[in-house]
Amino acid sequence: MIFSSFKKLPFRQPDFLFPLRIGTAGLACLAYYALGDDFKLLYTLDGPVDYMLLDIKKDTLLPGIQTIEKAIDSKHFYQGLSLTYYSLAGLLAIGFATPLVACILLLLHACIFTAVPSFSYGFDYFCQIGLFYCLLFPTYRSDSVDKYLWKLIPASTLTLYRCQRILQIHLSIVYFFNGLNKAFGSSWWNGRALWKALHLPYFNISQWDVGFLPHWLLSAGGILVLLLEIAYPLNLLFRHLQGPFIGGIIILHLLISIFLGLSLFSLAMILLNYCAWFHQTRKQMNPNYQSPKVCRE
Amino acid sequence: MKPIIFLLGVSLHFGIILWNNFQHSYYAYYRTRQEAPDALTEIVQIGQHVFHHSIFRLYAKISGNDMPYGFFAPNIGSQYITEFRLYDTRDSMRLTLSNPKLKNRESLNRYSSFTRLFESLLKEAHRPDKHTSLEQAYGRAVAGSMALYLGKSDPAISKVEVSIYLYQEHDSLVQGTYFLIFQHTINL
Repeated sequence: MIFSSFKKLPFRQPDFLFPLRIGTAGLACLAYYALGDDFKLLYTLDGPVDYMLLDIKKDTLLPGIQTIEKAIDSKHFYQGLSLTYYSLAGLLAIGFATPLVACILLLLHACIFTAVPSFSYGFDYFCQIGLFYCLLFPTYRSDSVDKYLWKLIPASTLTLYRCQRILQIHLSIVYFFNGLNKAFGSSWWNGRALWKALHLPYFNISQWDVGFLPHWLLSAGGILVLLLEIAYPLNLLFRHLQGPFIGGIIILHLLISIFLGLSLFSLAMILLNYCAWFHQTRKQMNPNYQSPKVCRE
Repeated sequence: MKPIIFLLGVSLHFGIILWNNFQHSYYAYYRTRQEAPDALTEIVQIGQHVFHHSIFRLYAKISGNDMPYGFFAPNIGSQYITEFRLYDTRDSMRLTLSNPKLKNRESLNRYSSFTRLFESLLKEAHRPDKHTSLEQAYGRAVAGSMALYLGKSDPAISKVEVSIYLYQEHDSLVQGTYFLIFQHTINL
């Protein structure tokens, strides 16, 4: 009875904008939270590497967080930064003043994690890409506080289709070039790359020993990775390929998380893949879309 | 008008992303073959000239697309391992650390990315007769800075010895090997 009454509720078919906004806000929080006390060592003036040395490698286009810390010169800078960062991520998650919040969080994230690229890696860039799309796409129109405050209509089918297509094309470029560059070297063809990845000292914290694996299996694994990445753009053309391909990519990222310990990176990639290929909007029709009576752009 | 603006924006967005990645793949291809680039050189030069403009660079930076997507490509890189040995005033070793006191897994991922800058010291280790380049001087300064930081964190420490190793797999694919590429002692 409860289940049947739930079924009668006027739920709209979920679009990809809602998981994109919530997931990206969560990733931004995790980027900061996962560092814990080490944040001070990596991204403040009190770190083990002299600030002047890090500043040499800084991109001149954006100020690094250390530059901002030096300019503000307050002993409560770190607490203020944490409060601001978490508050912005929280506001983005609930969808309050979404474009403005996404813009400020994007700039803050860039200043902290990517302006001085010495300590950054793939996850920081994909988190930033997620924040950029939260700003660019109408994420405020999908189950947000903004939507209820301003009585906004949901994004049109065509807009959803276009936005999701942009994300799909972007991911196709990411995987295609990654696979192509891997194919240039010999180590992904002969299995050496997989063996090496599983034995690198900083990644192999759990001390996995894969010495028992036959050589042909490592070679096959390397070739499978190349195939999955180079052929990823085919998902744009052939809908029936999407299931096995995206499933394979998600399994690949789960294995990266387990064996290499790159959990946040894997989480970011799984989120972007989920948003790009799940809850797909058809260009022609959306049977669940209803034009509301009250609309205010 | 709106569709034209949309198309222009999308074209520019993907143009920047494609250019950054094409350029990276272009040089990666020739680097892997150990040859000088000789194809499409004019197109690459024009592209570099156009996309080097600060507006495009700023857009790429903010949108998170200023780096190419070549993780672990074309090969899995060797990791550079740091070791800090802290000695007290009686010259006896008090502590050995493999990093500047990082506690979290996520910090170690970032630190392993950071240690790639010590690649310049590898070139120095292979050719000690060559003059020290700016990158090598930078690598030495960073290693020294970390050693100094660790030494100053405890008043009982009088000397810090920093060593940097290159981790490379053994030919038999069975045993890992560490090669010392840099060692320096800092007296406090």
